[in-house]
Amino acid sequence: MKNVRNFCIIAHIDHGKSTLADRLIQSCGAISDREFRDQVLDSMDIERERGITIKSNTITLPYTAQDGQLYELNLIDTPGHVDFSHEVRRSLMSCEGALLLVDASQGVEAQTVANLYLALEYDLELLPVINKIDLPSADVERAQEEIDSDLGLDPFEAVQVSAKTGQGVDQLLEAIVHKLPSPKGDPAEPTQALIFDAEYDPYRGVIMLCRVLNGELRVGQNIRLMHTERDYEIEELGRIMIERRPEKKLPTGSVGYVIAGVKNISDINVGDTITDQERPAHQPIPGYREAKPVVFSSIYPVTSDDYEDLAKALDKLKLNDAALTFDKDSSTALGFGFRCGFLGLLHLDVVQERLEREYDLSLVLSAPSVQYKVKMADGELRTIDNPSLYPEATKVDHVEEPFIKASVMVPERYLGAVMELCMERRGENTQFRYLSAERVELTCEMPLAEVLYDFYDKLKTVTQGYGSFDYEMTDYRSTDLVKVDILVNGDRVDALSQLVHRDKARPRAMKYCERLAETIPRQQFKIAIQGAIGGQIIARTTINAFRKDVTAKCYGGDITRKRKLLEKQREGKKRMKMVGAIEIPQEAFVSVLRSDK
Amino acid sequence: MAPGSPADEAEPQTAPWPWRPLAPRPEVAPTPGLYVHVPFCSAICPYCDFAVVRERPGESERFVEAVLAEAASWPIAPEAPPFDTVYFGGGTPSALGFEQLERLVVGLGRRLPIAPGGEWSLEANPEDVRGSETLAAWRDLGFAVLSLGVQSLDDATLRDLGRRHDRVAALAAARLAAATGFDRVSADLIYATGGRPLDSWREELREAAALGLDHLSCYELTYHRGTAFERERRLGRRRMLDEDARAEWFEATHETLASQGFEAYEVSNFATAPRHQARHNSKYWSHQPYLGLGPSAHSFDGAVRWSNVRSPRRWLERLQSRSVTGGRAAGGEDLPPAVAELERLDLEQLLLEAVSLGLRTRAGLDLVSLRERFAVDLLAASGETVRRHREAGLLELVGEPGRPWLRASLRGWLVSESLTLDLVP
Ligand SMILES: Nc1nc2c(ncn2[C@@H]2O[C@H](COP(=O)(O)OP(=O)(O)O)[C@@H](O)[C@H]2O)c(=O)[nH]1
Ligand code: SF4
Repeated sequence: MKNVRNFCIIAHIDHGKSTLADRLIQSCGAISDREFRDQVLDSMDIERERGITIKSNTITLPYTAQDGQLYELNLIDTPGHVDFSHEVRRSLMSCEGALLLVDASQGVEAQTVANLYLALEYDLELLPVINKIDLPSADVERAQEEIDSDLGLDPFEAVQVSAKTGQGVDQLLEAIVHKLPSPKGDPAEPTQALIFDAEYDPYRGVIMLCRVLNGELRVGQNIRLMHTERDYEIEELGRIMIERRPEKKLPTGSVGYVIAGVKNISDINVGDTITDQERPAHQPIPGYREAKPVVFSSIYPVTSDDYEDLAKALDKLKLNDAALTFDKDSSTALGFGFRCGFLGLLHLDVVQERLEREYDLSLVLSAPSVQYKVKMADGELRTIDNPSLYPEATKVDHVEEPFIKASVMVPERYLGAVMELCMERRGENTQFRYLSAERVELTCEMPLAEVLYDFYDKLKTVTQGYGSFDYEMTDYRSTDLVKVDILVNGDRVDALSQLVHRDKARPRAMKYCERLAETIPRQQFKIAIQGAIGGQIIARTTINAFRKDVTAKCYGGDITRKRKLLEKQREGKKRMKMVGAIEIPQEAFVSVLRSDK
Repeated sequence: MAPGSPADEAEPQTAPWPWRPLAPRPEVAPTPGLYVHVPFCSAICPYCDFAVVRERPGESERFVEAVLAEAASWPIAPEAPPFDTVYFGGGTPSALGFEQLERLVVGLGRRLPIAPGGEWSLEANPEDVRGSETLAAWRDLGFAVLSLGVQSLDDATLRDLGRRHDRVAALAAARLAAATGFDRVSADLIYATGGRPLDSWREELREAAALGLDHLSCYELTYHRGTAFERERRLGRRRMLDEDARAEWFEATHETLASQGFEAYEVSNFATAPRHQARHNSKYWSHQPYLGLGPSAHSFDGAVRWSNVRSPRRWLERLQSRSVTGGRAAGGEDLPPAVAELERLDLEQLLLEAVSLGLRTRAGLDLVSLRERFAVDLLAASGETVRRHREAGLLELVGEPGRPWLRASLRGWLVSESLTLDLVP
């Protein structure tokens, strides 16, 4: 245990986290260059392109230090995006230290700071690393100053490296060994291991990635998952060194994988604690949160032919994504689709992107909604997350909506702007406390629904990217909910109905109407677009009829040009959805619905 | 005529291309038309996107020989029906000298089967009408139809359009032509050019209608890519009328001419009597076959469309080089020297064309013949659409019982493109 180091790398996007991870792997001689290229580089395109890591790529590196001793370095990959703070937390819980990477040419940036706050919460030992010192534009001194002033860390501790050329990487490895602490934990205590990630293997079922905090894990051990209260027997466990390397046991402080005959990824919960059936721990590891969907949206294929493909794709995604839920749904305007549940907006984004990118589907998503508790006049209690299932207003006694405790950590200078944003989002009980002279943590209670509408974007804007946001669900509170319908020439577009707080109904409806008016092309007749609560019209716009599309002449028998034009328009028309007699292009839905997030 | 000139002796080339153009096809009326594109103009108008050039000395002679060579190169099937319309368009065909026109008329007659009663048409610019003798000479050459490029009777508009004639010349040419004894005299007019009130256009139309002409073509000014007007529009120096205004001008044009006894038989074409409808141009709208000669000319044999090299000088080079083949069709086969593109249409494409072209005509779509050609019953297939558009007054169902025709109303004409797409989704 003394020779184990569990650490992660935290960095702003593009500062070189992936490159440095690759370089560490190579320097430890784990594999040859060619294998390296073939195996290590992120497998998922989305991660690369969006600069976020969705699935952990955790790895154990054997390293012989200058003192002649063999160390086990466990590089625990963290999702690099602050929106995933929920998952970042679990990874951080598995580490004792973190490399805080700063690009020498860019200096400290917003995300570096946001991640730093999280790391500090978990008492991680921080090792600043200045990367890209090979660049002509590298300004090491400035980076050092910023490490001092913005991060409050000792700039002279900072190791200077180039992940690209490998310069300084040896010193970094030494620093990891000497400056980061070894894991604590008691081998004699009952087993406590944190599942910090899991993935699905078609041959082996679910592979759990664990950090053993106390006790040990053994092959053949009868284990219990403390939160789900399910029992399994360990079939195989070991370290991950590019490939899975089976061992007999995982001792206290170590990091590795466990295969225990778990069939579906939804059978386990990441964040759960593994313990021993015969000698269980008294308590699970704190900080557990069940991965329960809280955001719901309907996903429709743009062309109804793709419905089967969408169904298959969701099934496949589900294999690796326990939190995703889905059920059949249908809309008059958009046809057949699925009502899906997500952990949050970013989760929704990632799922959408994977469906579009990996499964080549083009999709329309309805406005995200939270889950409401609707108390009917007759005393019945209904849980509703889909506007189309919302009962008639007269039959509703009252409605409750989920509240969260939001926490935003920002440099002090943005405090005012963030407070204002929270107020605007029906925030209550706003409080703040100073974490240091410049850092403030602001907490407030607000409806989860308010976070679903461009909250992230707004927060990013008002804090210039320096705000880190996190929340936890707290309770349900009474709310004045209305269902806003959008009517196109009197016909309700069911896919655009939404449940909103009465105060937000008019502006939201107006926004939808305007967006639609911009994107629905003029047609042969005038189109009225209205927003309504029941029979009451609260917003309206109109699209005038177009008057003329005929071309003056087909001269000299050149019919081809005209036909090609018609063919092109016809292609565009095929992608339209009919609402009554009105053709609504997919783009209209997309533009209206995308603007929500 | 110049006997013994090279083109006369030229052996018709044995063509390597695999199709037999203009072979009779049972599904289309088998009376092909012949179009000759004369690419010369004394100056290039700033709105024009035709294949035109200013003539260099001697070029028109070479052009005439090349047209004849192109005509001779077509292996016309012996059983093919003769051309019953011949149309000289441009460009400015009237810019050709009398001898050149004569050589074309005679030479084409020798090389291609042209029906004895066929209708020959000539486009002429007013400035080329030097007096009644010019007109009589054209008539005597065999041109029964004269189409005058009047464009406007308003001097400011003519200047704006960059034309080389004025109102006086236009009026004189029209009056003289009307008195020359052509079967039909027509004039082209352009509207919605901007910078003038709608009423002055109505007045101009009434004046044009009173000139004793049999036919008028009225085109809305179109801003084509690559033209000077379009460039000016993009740079904000010229304003195109907005859609609502253009619709208003369109309707005013139709209403005014209707009140003057001109019936609109196509979106932009008006005739005083059915026999004065342009026979040649009607072929384009009714899917009849036609062969085009000259640069940029388009051809259609009922299922295949092809078009010639657009640049006049490149077209000339191609024909003079006497190379046996030109470009390459999408299918990979070699094309004749003058041909740049060739496309074989499938039934779906033909149907789209038939509907889009048919809706441009007053007669509309002959639903029975459409059903026979394409095996689709529009009333059944797009019944709901038809009902909706009839209710909205955009489509009309006419004809006799058992022989229904579907046609666009005046308002329907304005939006006939979207009607087409509604009918054949
Ligand atoms: N010159 C130079 N470029 C680097 C270095 N480290 C990373 N990069 C480049 O910086 C970019 C971002 O690196 P990457 O590892 O993908 O960043 P991440 O988003 O933090 O994972 C890539 O183009 C790398 O090639 C370095 O030390 N020197
Ligand atoms: S005269 Fe006719 S063909 Fe010639 S440039 Fe003008 S518009 Fe074009």
